[in-house]
Parts: sequence; C-alpha cells; structure tokens
Amino acid sequence: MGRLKGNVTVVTGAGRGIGRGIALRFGQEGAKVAVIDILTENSQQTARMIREAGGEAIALYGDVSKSSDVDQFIMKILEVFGKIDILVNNAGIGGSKTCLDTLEEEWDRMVAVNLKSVFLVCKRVIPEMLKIGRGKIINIASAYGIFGSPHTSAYSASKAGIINLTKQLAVDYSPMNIYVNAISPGLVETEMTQHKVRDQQALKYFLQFIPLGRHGTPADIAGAALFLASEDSDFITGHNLVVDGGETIRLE
Amino acid sequence: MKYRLEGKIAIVTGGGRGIGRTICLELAKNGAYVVITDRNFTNAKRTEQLVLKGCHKAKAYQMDVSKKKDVEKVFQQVFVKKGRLDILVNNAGVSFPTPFEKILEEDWDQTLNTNLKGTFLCSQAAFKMMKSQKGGKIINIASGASRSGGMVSPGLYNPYAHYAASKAGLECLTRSMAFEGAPYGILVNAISPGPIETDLIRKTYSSKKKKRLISTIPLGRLGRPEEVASAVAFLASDRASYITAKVLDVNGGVLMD
Repeated sequence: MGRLKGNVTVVTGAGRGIGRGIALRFGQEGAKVAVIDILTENSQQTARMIREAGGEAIALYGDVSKSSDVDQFIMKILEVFGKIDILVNNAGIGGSKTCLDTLEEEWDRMVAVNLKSVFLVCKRVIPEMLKIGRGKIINIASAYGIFGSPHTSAYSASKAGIINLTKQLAVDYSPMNIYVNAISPGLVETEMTQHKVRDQQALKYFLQFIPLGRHGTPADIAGAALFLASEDSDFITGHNLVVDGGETIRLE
Repeated sequence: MKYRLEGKIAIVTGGGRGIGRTICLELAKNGAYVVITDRNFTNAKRTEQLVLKGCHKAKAYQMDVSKKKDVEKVFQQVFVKKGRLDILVNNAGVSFPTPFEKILEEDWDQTLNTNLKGTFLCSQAAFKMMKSQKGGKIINIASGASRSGGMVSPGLYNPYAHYAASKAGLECLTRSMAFEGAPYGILVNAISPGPIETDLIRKTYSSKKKKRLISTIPLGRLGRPEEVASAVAFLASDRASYITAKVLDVNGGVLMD
C-alpha cells in the first residue's frame, strides 16, 4: 500500500488499544513508526508486530506527562529517523468518578496525562515540523469530550480540552502547513473499556445509545487516522472527526 | 486504488460539473461504477467521457433532483441494470446570491427544492435499495454557510439566506436519516466544504475579494475540488465504517465548529 511511505510517525500510548491499532496500520502503509509507551513490554510487542509485517518501527519508553521524558524520546527519534512528519497524541488514561468523589491528585494526573501531554509533545514536535515545512498532528480526544455523561468529570474535561487545543494549534500553525485535527472515538473495545464491553449487561446498556448497534474497534479509529495523516485531507484542519457509530447524534 | 471501491455502484447528483464532476472521477478512479446525473445532460455526458477516457466505468443520465418522476426513473433503471446501490452522493445544488429582502419566492423555492428536497427524494429512493441489501453509504454535500449564515469574516458576507437555510436543513436531514438508516447498515454523513476554487469563485470574485477571502483561511489558500472528492471517497470506503451522522469539514480551518 505505502500511503505513508517514509513518513516518520510518533504514536504515544501505542503499546495497546487504539494507539497500537494506529501504529500497526501506519506501519502497514510504510510509515516509520516510533512506538511510545510507559508499558515497555507492550510497546516492544507493537514494534515487533510492525516489523514482522515488513514495516519499520522502534519502541521507546516515555511518560508523556513529563517534559524530561518527552525531550528524551523525541531526541532519540530524531537520532534514529532524522525528522518527524506525523504525530498522533493518543496516550491517555480513563476514569469513572463524580466530581465529589474525585481526589485532587486524581484530577491532576488525569489532566496531566491526557491534556498536558498534548501540549508537551506538540511543544517539542512542532519545531521539527516547522523545519521540514509540513506536518500532520492527530489528537485522540473522545465523544466524552463533547457530551455530558455520568461520572466522568475529570476524563471528559481533559478530552474537551484536547478538542479545543486542537483548534488553537490549527489556527496558529496551519499557515505553516501543519495540519492539526482531532479524532473523537465513541465506545471502542480496548483495555480501558473492558468493564463496559466484556460485561454483557453493561454492553447492552451502552449499545442502546449507539445507532449502529455495535462498539467500535481500534481498526475503525486507525482508518480515520490514516485519512487525516494522508494528503487526502490536505484541506482539513482544526476539525474534530467523531468516530462513534452515531452515539453523539442526540446532542449535536 | 486507495479506497477500494471495486464492484460498488454509486450515484452522484449534479455530476455534470464542478465539485460533482470531480467526485465522479474520484469514485470511478477508486473502482466504483458511477451513475452521473445532472439536469444538464450534455454536462453529465461530458463527465462520462472523462471517466471513460481514464478507462473507468460510468454512465450519464439526465435527472432533475427536484422532480420525483426524474428521480424514480433513474433509480429504477439503476436497480434494473445493476441490482444494487452502494453509494449515493447528494451533491446537486444551486445558489442565487441575493440580499434577504430581495429574495424572490421562486428563487427560494428552487433553492430549497434542489438542495434539500432533492436530497430527500434521492435518499428515499436509495433507502429502498440499501435497506433490502442491508447496507449503503449516503454522503450529502453541505456547506459552511449552514453554520455561518454566509458570514465569512468582517467585511466578507455572502448574501444567500435561502442557500444557507437549505444547507442547514441538509445537515439536520443527515442526522435523521443516519438514525433511521443505522439498523440497516445505512451510514449517512455530510461534508461541509469551505471556500473551494470552482468556476463560481473564479468568475464572481474580484481579485481583491479573493485575496480577502484567502486571508481568512488558516491554511492560506482555497481548497481544490479534489480535496472534497477525496473526503467523499474516504466516507464511502470501509475505512469509515464506524462514522455516521457526522459533518466532515473540508474548509482549511475557516470554520471550526
């Protein structure tokens, strides 16, 4: 296929779930993939899967909420691949609590891992994109960043922050050919959503809100990410592409 | 063939020129058999020639989307000849820029009949086929005007309330159809193009107005019809099989929600 041939791509949180789905797909399309995760075994496994399929990949450790970690893995990527064409800010954590039940430390960690990380990684990667005069940034937000839902205040707020940060970055850097878009997945089967997807009763409850009547897969999100990373989307910037089987229909 | 539409049957309305023609070429290039409809048959035929020249498959039909008889006839012929319909692109549209108070009733009617009722008629005909085959994709070409009302930036306003209202209706219709189509695997989405370099802009914009328009677009340029067409191909493909009821902006960042 080779739609991303030679494009150096950084995918954070690519050790499993949606991040792994995107990394594998991009690897198939000829991208050179830097697989970032705090779960070292998982990220090595993703990189191995890409290489076994004939692609090119390296696995690197990195906590995206720490600027020193970000500095380190970006430097390593530049050392190995020499440039960065595509950045997928996917790393994130989940959590299901009301505002009153959320501890201050839990709030801080949620916002640091999900939102501050996008700021930190972009701050380090955008200058590299400016050097080559072009870049594609894809931020993985969430349908929860759009609507109000029970017991997810910290998570939803962090994801809503990503959606708006996407627009701010797009306004500032699109004139320099750096395209910034978000993808907001609905219910996708990953490690983060096991309690919803594996439990038949819970799944039945959640599916009643999804017109298509099924949950999504990492491959569904990877297809959208591939479109936003390719030149086919060269007039799209600042957009939040919602991939949710129609779940947000009732709130738009 | 980036989007693998081999074996798919597509109908594109307003395929005789502009963005519609480019959509026909793009879908055909990706392997689809394209039914090109336009109320101007000569233009549709010209698009057909362009597709055939590229060794792809297409057939032109005369069809006014606002006339139920026309629509039924063409969809019936497609059903008889091909037995199925996988993709419908509701692209046909008209606009008559006029200040609100001066809009003629006939112009209001023609705008709504073509842009909104036309989509209703074609989609209703498509639903029948797509329901029986348990799947299909409908893609509606909307416009940023549905949210902006024609206001692009201070000092740059396109007076076409009827056009903007028709496109807003189209976005809403997208969601209703998506909801009703979902149980049958019919996915319905819209694309909302921003300023695209078409004959309309080339002919009606002074270079000063064009410059001003471009200065409002974060990407610093007008879009190309090909960039709308590739978004259509994406939504028509299996890569977008979990996307429904959505409006995909292809606008260079000129309007963000």
